Amino acid sequence: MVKFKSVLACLVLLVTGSLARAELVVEVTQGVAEPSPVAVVPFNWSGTSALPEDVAKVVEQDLARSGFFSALPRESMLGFPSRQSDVYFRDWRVSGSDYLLIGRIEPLGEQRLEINFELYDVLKEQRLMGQRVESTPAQLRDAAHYIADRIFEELTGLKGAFSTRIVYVTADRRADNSNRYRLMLSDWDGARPRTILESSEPIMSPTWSGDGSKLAYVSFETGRPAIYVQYLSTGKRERIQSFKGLNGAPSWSPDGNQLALVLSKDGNPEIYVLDMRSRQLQRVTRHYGIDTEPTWAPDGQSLLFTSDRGGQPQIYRLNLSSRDLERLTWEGNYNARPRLTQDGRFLAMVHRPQGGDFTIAVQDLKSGRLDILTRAGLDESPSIAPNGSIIIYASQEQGKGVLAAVSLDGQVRFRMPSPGGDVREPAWSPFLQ
Amino acid sequence: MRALNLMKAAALGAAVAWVAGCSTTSTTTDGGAGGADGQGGSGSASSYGVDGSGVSGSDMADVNQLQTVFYFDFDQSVVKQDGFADLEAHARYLSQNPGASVRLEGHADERGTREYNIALGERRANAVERLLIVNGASASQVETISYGEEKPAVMGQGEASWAQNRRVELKYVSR
Amino acid sequence: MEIRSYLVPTALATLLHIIVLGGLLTHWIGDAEPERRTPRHIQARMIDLNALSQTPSSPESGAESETPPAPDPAPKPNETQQKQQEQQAQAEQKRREQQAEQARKAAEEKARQAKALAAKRAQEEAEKRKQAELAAQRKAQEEARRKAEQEAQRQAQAKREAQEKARRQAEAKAKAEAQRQEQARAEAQAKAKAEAARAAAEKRAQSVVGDMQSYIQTLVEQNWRIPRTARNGMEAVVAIRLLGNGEVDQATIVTSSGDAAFDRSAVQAVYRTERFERVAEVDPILFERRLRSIKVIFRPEGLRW
Repeated sequence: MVKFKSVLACLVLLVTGSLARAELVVEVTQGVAEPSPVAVVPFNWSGTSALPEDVAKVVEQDLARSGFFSALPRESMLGFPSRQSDVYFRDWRVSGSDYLLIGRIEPLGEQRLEINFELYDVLKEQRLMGQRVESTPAQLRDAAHYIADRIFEELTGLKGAFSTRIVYVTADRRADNSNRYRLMLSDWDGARPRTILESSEPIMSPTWSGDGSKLAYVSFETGRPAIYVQYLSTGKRERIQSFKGLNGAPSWSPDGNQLALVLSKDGNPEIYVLDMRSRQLQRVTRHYGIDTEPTWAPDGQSLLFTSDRGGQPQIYRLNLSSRDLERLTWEGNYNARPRLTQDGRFLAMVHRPQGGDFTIAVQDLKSGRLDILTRAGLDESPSIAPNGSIIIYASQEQGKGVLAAVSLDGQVRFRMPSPGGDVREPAWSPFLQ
Repeated sequence: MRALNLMKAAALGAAVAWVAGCSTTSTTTDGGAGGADGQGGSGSASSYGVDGSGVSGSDMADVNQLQTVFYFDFDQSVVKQDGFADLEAHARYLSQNPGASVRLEGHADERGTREYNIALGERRANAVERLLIVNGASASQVETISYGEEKPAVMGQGEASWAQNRRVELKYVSR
Repeated sequence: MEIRSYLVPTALATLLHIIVLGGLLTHWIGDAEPERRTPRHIQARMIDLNALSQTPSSPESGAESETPPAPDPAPKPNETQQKQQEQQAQAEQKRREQQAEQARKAAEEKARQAKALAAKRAQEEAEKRKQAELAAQRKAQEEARRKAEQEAQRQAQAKREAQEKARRQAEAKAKAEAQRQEQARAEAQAKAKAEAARAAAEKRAQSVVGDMQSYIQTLVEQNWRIPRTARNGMEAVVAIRLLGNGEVDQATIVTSSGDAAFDRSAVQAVYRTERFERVAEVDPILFERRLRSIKVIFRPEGLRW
């Protein structure tokens, strides 16, 4: 009987034991497609004279414009803590923030500053990171972009692209009906614009070399189009040999050794690859239609380009070693100016649906799915951030060219501040050192 | 989808063949269509020359009266018929004045991508150039350049503006 | 952590199985023989006993046996008695005849009487000897018989005892078997009862747990901000420890999606939910068993990519 009881006890134990182990599993497949709210508290400044930049504001704008985050308005903040001891997570939680960034700026002798920032996970009530950054008043904006990059990378796992630059072209029509064309360089967000080339004739198609040290572009300054290479640090320029007819659409190979370009010297626009060291030119397309706007695949093995060989502009991919040609776009009657994300998966382009306007669209080359991201009507020149998160493009507002940006998934769109004149052809730099 | 595109390609091929055929056989009406195809236009030089003989007068005063801007349809590089007579007159002037030369500037409207529009502008300039050459001008007297959508004649959106920007401007470099 | 918590029950289960299996095996092996032997033993006893009691009294076997002295003299005493009686009658007659003649033959008679007396004495003497011999023989015979009987009795007794012992053993075994069967029956009954109770409890628990499952799912979905880096096919598993009042005690990634933002969003969805209020209504034992520690799989569906 004793034995019997112990057996029973054992059984009961086993049964309950197995019950306790049968862990409840919940499956979650839906969620909210909203950016994560982040509270960027104004950084405390312990100096006397006012600072030229509101560092926290720059960081906040960077994060919010990425499309990954939304910013808590300062007026909704219950306090402006600058040290962990002053942080009451409950308050930030109530404000709906997922993350909290605090910081303080202190003078560090003559014209030097020290910035300390700390990032918190409000929900887990945990400090995620903190760093000390040295800067100068003149470089505060760089410091702010740097901080935004660190935070972005910490929270998304993607490298931040807030310290990158863009170039773009502006055109002004003067009173005497003459034009003024400028090649501009600015922060990624359009701030701190600088003119790096000015001309009375059109400037077109600026493009960055893979290392971000130089640009290639088309200038009509001699009365004919020619391709130039300009070094950013020195401003030194070099004209690539120009041919009769078109000289356009330059594109650097990822390793920077080759330049794809379009020449019509043989009768109609064809794509050529120019070896930058030997200066040897190789023709890679051969068709009586228009072949233009080449861009390199990130692996350097193939070129994507626009061609109307099928009757209307569509995007094709040419494998440079096998010479296999593949048409990539099938939707809409106008697909042009391809640009690929760094992982080679997403193709951004100018797209016009049947009977529609010109929009920016992105095609997933894995699934073939095409998504229209913009609806402004005359959008063009998409250029993708090096981390693939945002596409900057040229749009029109009240008949004037402006720059705008849209997240790769189309969820966030914003206009870039731009100087006067007609703004066009933005080109996003690679990651810069 | 692919079948549809094959059909489209076939249709396009047929159209090109038809255009090429027209440029060699027909006389004045469809001559400009040869501009769509580089090969088609060259063989028809003589027939254009014969047809153009009906018009007389080639002095400077007459040339100044001629149309110098030629318009195109969207994404097209076919010279419209209403420009033929004046283009033939320009060609005649050039053939009678070997020292004269012209520059053909091709343009596009703002729709579409800039580099594609540059190519389109060049096509339009080339179409006009071929018409001049087949009507007697020498290739050395004609130079072409495309500005694409970079130098619009008219600012503003809408078909009215765009139609004026899809053009080839003929400019005498020397008379 | 996981493996260790399974270790004890697993070991116990294995041990139990070994014990139960071992017990059953030994019982079955030990029982196989006695069950069939029992009736044969009872029969055997009867046969053997008869055989034993008949053997010694068989005349044929005695006549033929190698011990003749005892059985031979046994029938003689009866014949001698008969003869003696006859002789006495004859002598009586003779005496009556002789009495008539006694007168005449007194001397003769005396001699004859003496002679007859002597003969008679001798005869009686012989008879006595014979009787003594007979008695001795009988005694020896009796002694032998008794001894045989005793021996048989002893053997029978031994056999009986052996049989009794076997019977008792068989009985004990049968009893043990019956007991064992009874026990097995009781065990099975208890097990079935426990199983039924468990199934019922499980069913009840299952409906509560199912309810909680969809409740938790709804809350977490409301609080999950799917990051931009999320792609269809990504999957992260978050282990959640709850407090009895439904509050989230801890949430940690146990299976990463490989995407930092995705993992973070999953953990945050749980922390943002903060508390699963209705969990507090659940029976504490069930909470302990099923809800204290739960897992949430984040697997987005229907994303653009």
